Amino acid sequence: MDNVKKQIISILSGIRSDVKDWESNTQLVHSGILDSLGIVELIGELSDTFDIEIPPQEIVYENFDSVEGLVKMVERLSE
Amino acid sequence: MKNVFELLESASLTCPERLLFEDVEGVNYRDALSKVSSVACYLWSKGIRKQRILVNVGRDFSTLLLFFGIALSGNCYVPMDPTYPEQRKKDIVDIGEVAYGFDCPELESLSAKEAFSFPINEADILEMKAAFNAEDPLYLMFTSGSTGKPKGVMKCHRNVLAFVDNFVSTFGLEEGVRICNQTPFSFDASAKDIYLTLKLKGTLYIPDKTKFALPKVIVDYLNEKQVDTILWVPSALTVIAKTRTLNYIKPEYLKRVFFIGEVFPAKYLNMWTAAMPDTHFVNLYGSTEIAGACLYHEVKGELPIDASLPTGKPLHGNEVKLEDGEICVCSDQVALGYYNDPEKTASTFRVEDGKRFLHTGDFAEINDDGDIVFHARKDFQIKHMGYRIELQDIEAVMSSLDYVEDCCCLYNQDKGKIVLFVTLNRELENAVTVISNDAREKLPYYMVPNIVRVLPVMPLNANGKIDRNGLKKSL
Repeated sequence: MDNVKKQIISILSGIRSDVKDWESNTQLVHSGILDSLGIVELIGELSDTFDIEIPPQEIVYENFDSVEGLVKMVERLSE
Repeated sequence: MKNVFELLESASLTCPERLLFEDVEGVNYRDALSKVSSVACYLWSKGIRKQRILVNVGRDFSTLLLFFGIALSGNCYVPMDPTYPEQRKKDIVDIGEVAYGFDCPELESLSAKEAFSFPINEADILEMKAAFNAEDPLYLMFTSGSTGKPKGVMKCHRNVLAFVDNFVSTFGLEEGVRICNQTPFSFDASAKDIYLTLKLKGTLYIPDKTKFALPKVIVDYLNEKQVDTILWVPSALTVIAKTRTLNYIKPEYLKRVFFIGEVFPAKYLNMWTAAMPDTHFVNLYGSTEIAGACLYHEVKGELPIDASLPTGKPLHGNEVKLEDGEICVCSDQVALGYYNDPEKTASTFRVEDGKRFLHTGDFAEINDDGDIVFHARKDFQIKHMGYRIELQDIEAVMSSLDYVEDCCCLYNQDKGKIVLFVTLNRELENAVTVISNDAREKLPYYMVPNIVRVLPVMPLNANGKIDRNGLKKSL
């Protein structure tokens, strides 16, 4: 598995250890798995791990509802 | 006025076309009045009088129309979060002696669909109005109790009517406010949104809960709806500040931000006040045992990072004083008591010369400005995500798990996290995951420990009790 994806899933599992299948879920925010506390924690972890800054305009459903969206965002912001 | 229905009725005479509530759809005052009347006639036709009626709340205005229909018919609504664990739901039904519920198969079931389309009988409505009594129970709200069982606080029409009058006169609010609701309707704080909207002939916007996880999305929503007033828990505001969203986009129309339910960290409050210098920021203090709020403090300018924000001075119509350091309130907003629990009611509420007093259990001091400053709880109560939680309540539930030997629950105030320390009576694979999953299953979401720590032995103090202070140091 792609390294970025692996790291993101590991971060997500640290926030919600009860969720097993991250990759096929495309409703992470919409379903409530990631609530406001979770999002803040996730942003902190992503910023530290990938040494990126996530500006407010990136914190939207499209980027946070799926692992794929998160990977794309992280890759874009790391460039 | 004797019944909250009269707020709706009088507003729908002056502004029938105005939007009252909006979720994904909207309803105006005229149509709301008609739907509420239908619900009341439906209940009346079934001969349901002075009953407690359960409503499974959603983030939709139908929930609120059911509340008002129940109120008009002289019954009392019991808001229920449908995601609560089964045991908690059962406790609420038992303690509240709830026999009826909308779309609840386990109770004497009522159909919301039928109720909303039920024919309105004017003669019945007149009979309902003739029976209005301001002391009649309006809603029964359950809150965490120290024994693991929830407590039901009963409020009457007078409590809520007094609150909206006192609040509006204290802050000089104008008619036609546009409020955005944040707190769920199963949470007492939401009553402020609902009844202030009605009192001020305004509009209440009810966004999807997931929007609050995405700061830009919720700020866009506030701007789209031109929201001018919010009454939120600080954690909802903190998220917006933490993500630096206010540097990028601001809620342009916001005139007033009220916050209640927990401490707003000065660091994040400063970000808000700096970004929005023309907006009023007001700290409110209340408890489920009082309708709305009874103390307020307007924040002026930047605060020192370690400042403890005063809860301030009494709202109009409230007498608040410290008795041996405990905050005691006397006003028409003080609730009727705990339903079905005369003992607990007697130890918390008191009536003298027809005046209602409440002993809040919160300890405070008075500072040099004459403001009341919150100090501590007398028990293990905490405020987390705006909810009042008894840590013992979490411990009681977690101790019931068969693999748990001992447990101790503490709150990390700085990080806003509930921490559970556990010792096990047997080997348990993936213990933290298993415990977290069971916690999610057995506790309402806001009580689920954020951190679980499995200990080989539980530290005890000299008295042989769990060493809470020692554990606190390890947080």
